[in-house]
Amino acid sequence: MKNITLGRYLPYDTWIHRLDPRFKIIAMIALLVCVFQPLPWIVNGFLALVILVLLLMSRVKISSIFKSLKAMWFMILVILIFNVILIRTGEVLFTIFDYPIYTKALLQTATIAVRLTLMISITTILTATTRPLDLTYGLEFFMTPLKVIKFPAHEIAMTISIALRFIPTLLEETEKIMKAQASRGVDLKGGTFKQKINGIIALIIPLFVSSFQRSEELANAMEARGYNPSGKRTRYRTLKFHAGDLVGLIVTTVIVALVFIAIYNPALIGIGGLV
Amino acid sequence: MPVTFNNVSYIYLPHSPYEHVALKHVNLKIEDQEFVAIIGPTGSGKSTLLQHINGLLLPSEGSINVNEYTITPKTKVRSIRNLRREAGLVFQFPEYQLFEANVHDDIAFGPKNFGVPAAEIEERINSLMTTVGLPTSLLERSPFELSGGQKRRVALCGILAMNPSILVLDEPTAGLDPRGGAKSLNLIKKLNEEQGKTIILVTHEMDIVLEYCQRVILLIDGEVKADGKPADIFMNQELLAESKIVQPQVLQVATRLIKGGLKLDYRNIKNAEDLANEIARVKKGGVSK
Repeated sequence: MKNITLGRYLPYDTWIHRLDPRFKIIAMIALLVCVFQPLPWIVNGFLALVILVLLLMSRVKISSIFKSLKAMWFMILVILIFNVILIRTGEVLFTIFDYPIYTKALLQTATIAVRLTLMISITTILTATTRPLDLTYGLEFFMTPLKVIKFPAHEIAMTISIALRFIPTLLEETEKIMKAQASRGVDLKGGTFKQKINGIIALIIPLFVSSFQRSEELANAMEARGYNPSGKRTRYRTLKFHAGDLVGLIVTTVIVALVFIAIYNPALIGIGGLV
Repeated sequence: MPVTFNNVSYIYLPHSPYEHVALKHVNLKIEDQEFVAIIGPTGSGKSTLLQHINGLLLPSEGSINVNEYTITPKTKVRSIRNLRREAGLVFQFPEYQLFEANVHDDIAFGPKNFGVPAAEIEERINSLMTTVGLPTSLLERSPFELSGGQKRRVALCGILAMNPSILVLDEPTAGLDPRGGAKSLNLIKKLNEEQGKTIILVTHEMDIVLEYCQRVILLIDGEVKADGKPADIFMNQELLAESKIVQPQVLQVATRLIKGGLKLDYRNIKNAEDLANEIARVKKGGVSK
């Protein structure tokens, strides 16, 4: 259970780790928007290069990205099948049993696979380099203006941070109960279908019981310390915008600008002939 | 058959920033019907060690022999499935593993998984309820309605119902009041003496270790630091100071008395009663002032 690597915070101290979470959230959204544009291959390649550099800088293992792709091959396969059936334009690449396969179908699937990979990489960079709590502080910052329309920004941020805080606890608990039930002969990997279902019940019920208990205890503990959701509060760690964030912001803006120029006016940056 | 650890090491999350070496080249042999305590500070690898005995964790290095099973880093979990029946592992706060609609079904869950015939399960449940001192009227109740102590005894029954020859317990007295703790230890002692089960337990309560266990294994930072009779280990002042283990209370008293000139034989002392008897014995022998 502890072996879940995707989306996990990595406690290093790199330049990207030290950036302001608010900036990182903006940069992530900007890059995601770029990735999902109908891009010519050369621009896609440029974006992939940028993201690769970011991955290396944040010390995320490239192999962990590919590991998470392994879980998606089935989805990509389904997309491939649909594309092969539905897309009937472009040149015929080859035929299987008299069924023509069009180049466009394969290209389209490849594009989706690349986009998914880049998307996973971008979000992994964010979660691997930002403490979950900093992330919620960042989100709260962006939600605060919505308070004007009575949007419960603080409450939502608190709920998210509690949820994030308890993910490792719940994983630990799951692991413990799994082991306890495995000691009583539960075999979630082998065993018949019925045995597996029984095993899952033996896991989920105790997990629910202890979660409810825990949430009640937490609510009591918070109330005992005078927690009031509508009260005004200060923070131990405040977010500050540093020089590094400014550099990051400029770099991101340049990248986004380049990408959009490449889409709408490729001649401007001299790649007109390549698109 | 004995439990043997041959040069066992275990590493959590190897090759990651969270990598942690929990056991370092552990060598151990626990004989049949022994009553052994594993002690050591938090994070010294006690629970990790326990989970190797029934194959929940596979060693990163070395091998373990339990009964006729051999566990190595490459062992397939399926091939040692029945080991889990023979070496019953009772986790800390085992009441969290209860889930069935009633106590009866929860106790039957383990043996059913291992294919014990229904008639025999019934027989075992009835005799176990008497053994652990629970009224059979509880069998139809939901396990979530019971008191904390009752829940724990039901969970213990759930493991005992598989009739393991080795009983492994992680902090069996954690969270119990002193009387409840003594009750469960007397039960464990009975299982050891009358049914010949090997007992391996982890605890932080040194008084319990002294009173009930035949042997202590002290783990520090994943290494076996000491292994011997409780009285000898608890009277080794250097070891106590180094490992930050608190001496059992009766031995604290005995240590002071011995320092004060009383010629007590600490090997005879396991609890307060023994201490009183020992003082009486020495006094009768006539100690000159």
